[in-house]
Amino acid sequence: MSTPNKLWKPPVFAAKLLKFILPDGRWNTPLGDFEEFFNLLANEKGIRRARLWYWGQILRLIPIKLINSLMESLQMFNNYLKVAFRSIRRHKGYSLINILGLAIGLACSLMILAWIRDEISFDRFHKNKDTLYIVATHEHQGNRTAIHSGTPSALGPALKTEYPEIVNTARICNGPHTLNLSYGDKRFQEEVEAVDPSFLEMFSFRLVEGDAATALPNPHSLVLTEKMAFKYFGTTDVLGKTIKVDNKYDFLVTGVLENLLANSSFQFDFLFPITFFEKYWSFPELLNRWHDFSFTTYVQLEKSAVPSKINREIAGRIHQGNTSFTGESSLQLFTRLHLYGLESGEGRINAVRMISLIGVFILLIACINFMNLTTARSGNRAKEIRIRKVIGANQSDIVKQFYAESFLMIFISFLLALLLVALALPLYNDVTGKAATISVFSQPVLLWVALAVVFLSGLISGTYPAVFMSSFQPVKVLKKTRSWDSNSSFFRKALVVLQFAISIILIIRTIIAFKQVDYMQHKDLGFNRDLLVYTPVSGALQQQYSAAKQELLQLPGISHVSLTSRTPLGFYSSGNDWNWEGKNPNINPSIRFFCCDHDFVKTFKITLVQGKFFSLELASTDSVTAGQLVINEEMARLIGKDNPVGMRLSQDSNHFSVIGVVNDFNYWPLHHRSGPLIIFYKTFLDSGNARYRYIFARLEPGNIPQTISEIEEIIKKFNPEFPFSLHFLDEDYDQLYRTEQRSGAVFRSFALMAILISCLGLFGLASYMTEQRTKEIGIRKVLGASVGGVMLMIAREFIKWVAAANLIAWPIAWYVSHNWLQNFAYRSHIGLEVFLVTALLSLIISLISVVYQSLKSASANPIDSLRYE
Amino acid sequence: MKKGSKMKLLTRPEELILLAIYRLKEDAYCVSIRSQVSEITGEEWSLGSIYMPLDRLQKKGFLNSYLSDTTPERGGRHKRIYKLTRTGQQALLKVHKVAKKMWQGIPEKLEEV
Repeated sequence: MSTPNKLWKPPVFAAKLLKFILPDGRWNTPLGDFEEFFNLLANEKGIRRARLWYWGQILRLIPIKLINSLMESLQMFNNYLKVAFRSIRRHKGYSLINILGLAIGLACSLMILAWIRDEISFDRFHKNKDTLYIVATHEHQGNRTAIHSGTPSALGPALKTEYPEIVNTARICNGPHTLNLSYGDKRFQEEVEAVDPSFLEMFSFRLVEGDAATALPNPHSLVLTEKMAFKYFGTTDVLGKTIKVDNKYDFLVTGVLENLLANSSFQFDFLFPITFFEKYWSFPELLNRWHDFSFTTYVQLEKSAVPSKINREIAGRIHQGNTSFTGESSLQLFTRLHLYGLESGEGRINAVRMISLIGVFILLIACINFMNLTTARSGNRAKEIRIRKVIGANQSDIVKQFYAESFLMIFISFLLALLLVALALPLYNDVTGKAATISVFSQPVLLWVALAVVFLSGLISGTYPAVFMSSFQPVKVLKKTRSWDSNSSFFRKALVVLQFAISIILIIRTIIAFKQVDYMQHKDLGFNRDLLVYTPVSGALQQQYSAAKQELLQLPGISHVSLTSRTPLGFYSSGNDWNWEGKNPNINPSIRFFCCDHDFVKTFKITLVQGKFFSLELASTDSVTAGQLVINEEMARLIGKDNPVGMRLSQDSNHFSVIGVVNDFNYWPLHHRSGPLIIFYKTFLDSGNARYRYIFARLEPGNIPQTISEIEEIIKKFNPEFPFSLHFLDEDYDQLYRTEQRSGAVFRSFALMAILISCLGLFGLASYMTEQRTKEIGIRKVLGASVGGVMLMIAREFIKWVAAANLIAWPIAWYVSHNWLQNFAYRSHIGLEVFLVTALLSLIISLISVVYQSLKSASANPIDSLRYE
Repeated sequence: MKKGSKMKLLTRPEELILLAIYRLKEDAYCVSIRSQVSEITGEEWSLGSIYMPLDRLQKKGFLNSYLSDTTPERGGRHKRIYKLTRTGQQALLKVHKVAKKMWQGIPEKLEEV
């Protein structure tokens, strides 16, 4: 060994690193060896070479060190797992509550995740989804601007030819359009969609048969779904086959669509060319009009085009065709429509946000349970922690141990949650109206998010117990004083109050949502929708409806019959080109209209506010050309006259006089106020568009099934070739609130789960607390306390918490509910009773969950409770 | 030879290290062993490639070790001096015997292949 001529020192940091890497307690000699060799190298080959060597050694050691420490921690982990399993087994009751609570929470949040994902995925399957827009019309109505999707029929073709940025357009004639279809002896009444042929090119609906580019080549071709192909033909190989419409027109099947996905906003079974309706309604200019806004226009833009730049040009184009149009236009991304709607509060985003929030709340509640139960029982674990610490465990070791325990519990809960989800899937589908299968949950995205949720909840619910328990001072624990428990018990109480506050908010919000839907379903609409039935007028009935009406009136079960052009929910959107004396040229809302006969007011039980309604005398004179009409109060307000009877309204060159004003009966979903309305007698402008299409009959209460079969007999007699169908108007109205009902049901179910989990936690906590006070209760009883007194003592604590939770929750719940109700034009009242009922409910629920434990301990024989040590 | 007993035969590095330790006597510690082995084989041996067999040999009971003095070039740290045990010596002799037997009758210059 050569004697070094100079002493070199290895880099300080590197040496420290090396010391850290080398195994504990055995780093001394190797470190010396390394330093000596470093000196050797430095003297022989230069200091740089030596340093390089030193660092190289460290780099080579790091992976070895990592593997070693991993093995070590695995061994420790093994021990933690063992202890965790033991403690789970020893305290079966607590563990069950803990795991069950977490599992229910996780299962709920998994289902909520699936629900949200489904909502978000709406309409995303279209290939052109990023360039598809809907043309929205903004209309100034006094102090507010209404946004709707109605556009003139001439707009689409004009845009396509005049603007290079616009690649393609497609129109849909706002429906519903009911047609009688038949093939051989199969006859059904179907709702069909009237579209431009380009519709199939723009939107990616897969065709099983036929080609999207050549489907709907002429006015007498149609496209149907697989489902319908089977219904009519029993096969999908139906290209070139003929379906008869209204027993009159032959339609060639030119395409078969794959059944539509559930997450498509479009839901249709038949696509008819829009051009057919010109002929069907004998309305030659139907597709070339600028005045009535009853078409929806979809636009496909160039990839590079900026929609905001085109908005103004579209409005300008409409104005060019229709000078009375003073509104604005905008292009709205089609894929946003489902979530955001056109007007704020229309889309599903509120529900999505609300339900995601519930998901977070449920998880939070479940995590709070976990934290509370774990820390509450920390006293029982103190001995173990003490011994671990005395043996030499660091705080970090204890932290690790409790994390391991939390994650183990959560992992078990997660497995249980998956099982719960699988079991609850039919229920989930029932409540949400979706058709989820278990495969929904095997989507990778969802799985990753679920794992993230699991990890996060592990972190949340594990951190507090881990940090809290690891901080025990062995000495204090040894002394067995309980002083260290008082801080944590305050925190625990705060958490329980928080948990209950969240549950109470959910209860209040649920009750108010329920009240609102109930209110909308039962609100006085300005007419009586109960026992009002209608049947479409089709086939031979069209020529003989007056005769049919007379026969129907003979039936004892029918009090009134009226003929109308539309059902109240399908009132035609008219143009905004009405004029009258003193009209404000800047306000041009679209005015809806429909036609009816003189029995409308009596049949619908609508109130006539001013003037008179159409009468039979009018019908006998040739008054149609005389041009008389009735308006609603909203229209009267628009005109701005106290007594508009006798006023002249004109559209183009046609003049009408107002003969009466009816009350503002609601013909729209109650999210919005119903707008101005014009009612015509019989036909309007001779266009087929407004002929009578429906016979409405008001039934007398009594033998309704018999009346219905009698109606069927009469209609069948007049119209033997078409299937008979009868609808109840109130059912149509109920349909309007399906979204709210569905969201409400989803909301209710998950809110219930949240409450259930809170109660589970309360139950666990109550049993722990009474267990802690076993001795105290025993002594109290020996000294003469009654069972009731002891129960009251235990319950008092919980009542205090629930009361505090109520006080915290009320203002928040009020604010949240109040905000939600702003989405509706007609709101139910948020009464104090909602809050009081909730308070009572929460009190009862919480008492139920503690009464078992308190009764058990209060009625226990004090001998047993005092003898236990 | 019994099955399994051949496991007791030393590997070549082990043999080299044991021999180096024997030669170095009181000065047999990691760095000196390394330079001895490197010198004789004419190849650079890393410290790691000495540590591992040293550890193994000590576990097998072929070596003893104790801490000795410190030197400034070691940053004031102790040396760990290794010494052959009896079993270590026997193991060395055994490989030597085996090698000698195997080499018997084999010429210095091997026939060309």
